[in-house]
Amino acid sequence: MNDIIKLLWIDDNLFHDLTEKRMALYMEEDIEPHFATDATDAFYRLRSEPFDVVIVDLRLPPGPDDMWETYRASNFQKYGYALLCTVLGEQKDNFDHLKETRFGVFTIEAQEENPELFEAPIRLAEKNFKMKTHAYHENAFIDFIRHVYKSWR
Amino acid sequence: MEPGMPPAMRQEIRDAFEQIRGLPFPIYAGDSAGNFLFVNEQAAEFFALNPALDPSVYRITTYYENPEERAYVLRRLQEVAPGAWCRDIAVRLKVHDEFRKIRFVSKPFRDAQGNLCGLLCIALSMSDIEWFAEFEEMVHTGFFEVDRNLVIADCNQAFARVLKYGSPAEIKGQPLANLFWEPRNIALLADEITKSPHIEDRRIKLRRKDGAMVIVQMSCIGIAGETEGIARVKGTIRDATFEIIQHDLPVGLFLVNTDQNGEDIISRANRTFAHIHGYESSDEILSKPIRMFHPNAAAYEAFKTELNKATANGQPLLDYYMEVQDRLGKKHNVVANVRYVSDENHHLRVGAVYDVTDHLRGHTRTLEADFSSILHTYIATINGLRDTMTMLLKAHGEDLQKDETHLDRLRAAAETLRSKKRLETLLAELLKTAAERGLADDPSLARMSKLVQRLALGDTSADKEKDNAALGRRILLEFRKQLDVLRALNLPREPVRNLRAEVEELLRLTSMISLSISLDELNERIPDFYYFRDYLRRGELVQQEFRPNNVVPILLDSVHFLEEFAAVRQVSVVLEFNQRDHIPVLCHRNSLNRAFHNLLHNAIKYSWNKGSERRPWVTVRIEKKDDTVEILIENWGVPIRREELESRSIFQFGKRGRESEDRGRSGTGIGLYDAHDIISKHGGSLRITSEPTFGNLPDMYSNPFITRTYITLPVAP
Repeated sequence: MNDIIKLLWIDDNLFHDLTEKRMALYMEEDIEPHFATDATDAFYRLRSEPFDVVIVDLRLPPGPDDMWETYRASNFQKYGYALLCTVLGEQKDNFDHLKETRFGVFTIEAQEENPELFEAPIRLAEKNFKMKTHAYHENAFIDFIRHVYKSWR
Repeated sequence: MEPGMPPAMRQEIRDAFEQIRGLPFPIYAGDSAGNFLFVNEQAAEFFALNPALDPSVYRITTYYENPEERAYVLRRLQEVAPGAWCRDIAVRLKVHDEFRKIRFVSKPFRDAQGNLCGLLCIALSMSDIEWFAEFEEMVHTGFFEVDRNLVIADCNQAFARVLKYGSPAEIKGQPLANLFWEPRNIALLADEITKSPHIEDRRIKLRRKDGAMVIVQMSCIGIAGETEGIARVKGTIRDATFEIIQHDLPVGLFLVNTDQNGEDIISRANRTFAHIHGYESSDEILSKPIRMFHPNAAAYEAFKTELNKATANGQPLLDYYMEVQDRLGKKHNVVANVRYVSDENHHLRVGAVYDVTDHLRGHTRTLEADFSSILHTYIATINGLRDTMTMLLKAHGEDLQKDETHLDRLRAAAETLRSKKRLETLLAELLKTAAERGLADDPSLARMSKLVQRLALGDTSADKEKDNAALGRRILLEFRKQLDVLRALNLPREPVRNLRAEVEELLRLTSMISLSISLDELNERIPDFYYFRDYLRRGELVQQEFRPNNVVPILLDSVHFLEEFAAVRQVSVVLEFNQRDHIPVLCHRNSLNRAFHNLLHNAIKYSWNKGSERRPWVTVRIEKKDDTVEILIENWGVPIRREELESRSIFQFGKRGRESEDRGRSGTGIGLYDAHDIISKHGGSLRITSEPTFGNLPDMYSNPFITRTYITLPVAP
């Protein structure tokens, strides 16, 4: 039997435009989906439990926590990026339990617009980045999750 | 008079005085104590002495601006060789409250022991140039003299410096033609000087020794000779090249200084900088605090932060885009390049500002026009899609409809539950038959059992409606596939047919639910699309084009347009005014409609449910007050933070309130900016308050607030 992939998908549109893709995950026997819709929600989910795969949208709302104050001042919008920096960078000591977690980015933006994702502290593998427009069919998205699961940071 | 002066000495001084008293200068003799001994007429006049009195009643020391300075003069005279004249003592005297710069040419007289006991003085008035002559080498004004052959006869160091020559000697004897950038202008200039010998502040292009051009500001005087018209020309030049650049460059240049109160003040600026900020001349903008030209304190601090960041990296702040406002409040889009002046501890900065407003406006207009037409087509497509969806609902869900366009979702949910139960029963019957026929272990049947179990597990709460319908449909599609596999098994056809029929019914129900929810979502978004299209298509508001219109139907238009949106949001719009009222305002109808649409849309969008007993509502009131009309839109729900109201950041373009993303509420951050702009241009005001209710704390933004929007407009006469 295949491993069960414990997935956290972080996207503010999960309950709107992405409903069908989200429901498709429930039909996959090897995926145990969990969801978060803003950076604050995601931060606390990640701090409290391990996941095999975390898929992040870049343009996330910050959510209510004050930890994002420094970003707010400059009209920042990519709280997905801020979340990754926090979890994998400045606060990584609090996230030891995510050592085996593989991260992926699923976003409307192009890879070229986000070169910082591939540098420290995130160091995302290029193949773990997928544009939403390149995964119109839900199978492409599910394949992407399985690919991220098999990848190594 | 000094008592101890020997008569012989006095006579000697007198003789010396008599020899020169006829010269046309103030001449006097005095003793070492400063008493006048003898004065000629010019000296009496110069020092305003009463000719009826003995001059010895006056003392030269009383005329010194600084009396101690005389001691210095006497010390200098002590050093002069016997019988010699001292020619370089310059002092400032005060005669009847008037300061006079004087050069003394003095001859000291000493007794047998060599002590100074008297002196003879010629007082020569000095011009400012003579007075400051010792600074000549430091002066940047070039002096020159040209002879009748148009050759440089004389010049000072500054003249040579302006033209990049090493010394005056190097330039003396050069024909003027070598120095003029356009030699043909020499004849014209000479002709002009002949006609009018005084020329002031003429801009002339000269050629430097290195071949480069320098533009100077020249003043000169033509001096007539004995036989010919003009024998020589004397004048001054000043390098004005950078002055011209500063003056004529179509870029705002500035220098900002931090004063003793820590305020950043404009200390120098060129004309373009003044124009960008709404002033005619650069003098008018001097000493103004620079922050007054930034739209708000936060914007100014953001600029300073970026400047400091760049400085910390050893860089100037380059191509910083920002919005500034001129003294009349008109917005300009500018790009600034700024740096701190070194060694000034961030207290002095210089920069250049480009006004890119028109450029940006042109680009924006093109983009807006293009995008609005795309959006227009998109809206048409969406409207067509909405009609089709409505028709599909009618065609396949007529039995579930609440009215012409809406599904009764409670009924649909109940029907779905009943259908699921039937499906379970039918499957149970089939499984029983299958067991009887030895097919209990068939994998398709096992899979179908599992799928039905998952179907039954669905959370039936209202906020899971969309998920349940979507997931249920996926399960049923999988179930239907398994039904196809059953054809190969030895099973009775009727139960399988019944199962398939029930699956189709469930698929219909879940599809109708999904369709209805999607239609609601579409209806929720459509006002945004319409608003954004109208915003992009807006023209300039020209007050001359305003017409008197009754404000009541304009407001009602917005209310009716948003009815569907309010229905989807389950918000009631309560109108507390007489819809037949006639309150004329001078307005641009479409723009005012857009502003109302916006404010009402916000009130509906950000409303919360106030409790189970009543659905949320928005109250709209109109009150006529003398020569104004006040429209109040009140809702209860998502708060606007106090600091956002105080800083008025909610009225900034593209700014959304921090709480506005509550529960996925989308928005552009343009609406309030636009509404404020429209209402201001109608001579009205827009005021917003947001306050906690039920005694909640003012900073607890997780609680609902009452938000009130007051629109005040002048009533048309």
